[in-house]
Amino acid sequence: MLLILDSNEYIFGFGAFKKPACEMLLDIISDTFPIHSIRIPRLIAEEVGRHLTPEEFREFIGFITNLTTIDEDFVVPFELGVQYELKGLKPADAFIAAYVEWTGADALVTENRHFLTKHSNLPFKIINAKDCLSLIKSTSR
Amino acid sequence: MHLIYIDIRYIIIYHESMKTKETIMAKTITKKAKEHLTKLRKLISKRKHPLSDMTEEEVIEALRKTREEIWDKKLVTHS
Repeated sequence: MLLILDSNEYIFGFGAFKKPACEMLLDIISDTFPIHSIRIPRLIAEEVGRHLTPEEFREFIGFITNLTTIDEDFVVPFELGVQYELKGLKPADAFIAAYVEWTGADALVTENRHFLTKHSNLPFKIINAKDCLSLIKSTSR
Repeated sequence: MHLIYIDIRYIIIYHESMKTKETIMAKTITKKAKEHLTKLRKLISKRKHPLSDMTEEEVIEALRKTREEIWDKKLVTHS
């Protein structure tokens, strides 16, 4: 399963704010690679980096680049982002949604309720870490 | 015309060795990723992270603000 994790999943998963489901999700992804894999755009990597010290950021990049490559934001077609803006998402959130569609990922994992409530008629799932863990468990049976 | 005969056993051995290589590579990647993750968590636990005193909603709001700031900066740079 290909997943895109929102910046909040990384921050919660690294323990900057305790959220066991997010920590468990990062553990499972790194343990089960390449059965479950991730992709990340530059925007999310930068967002996470803003909340880390340079030393922590180096470890974050090490963690990410072992599992995937960081996609530059400009690779996502502009028109795709506009489609999501028309659905009511803010420009930066619309870009993330467009990125998820562009990668063909199965799901966007986020704890952001604003995202979670706008998930009708999308080519991918929008779920939180807890639901993602259930989904991973059900697919591995 | 030249006929080339390939013993099926060689194909099976090649396929198996490739599978083993892939498994070893995946295990190495997993191990390295896990090492970075463990070290990162250790570093974060050593200091008082500014987000640790916030509520979950406040953290999400802070991250949303960060996203908008970075996005706006990107738009200014590229326009």
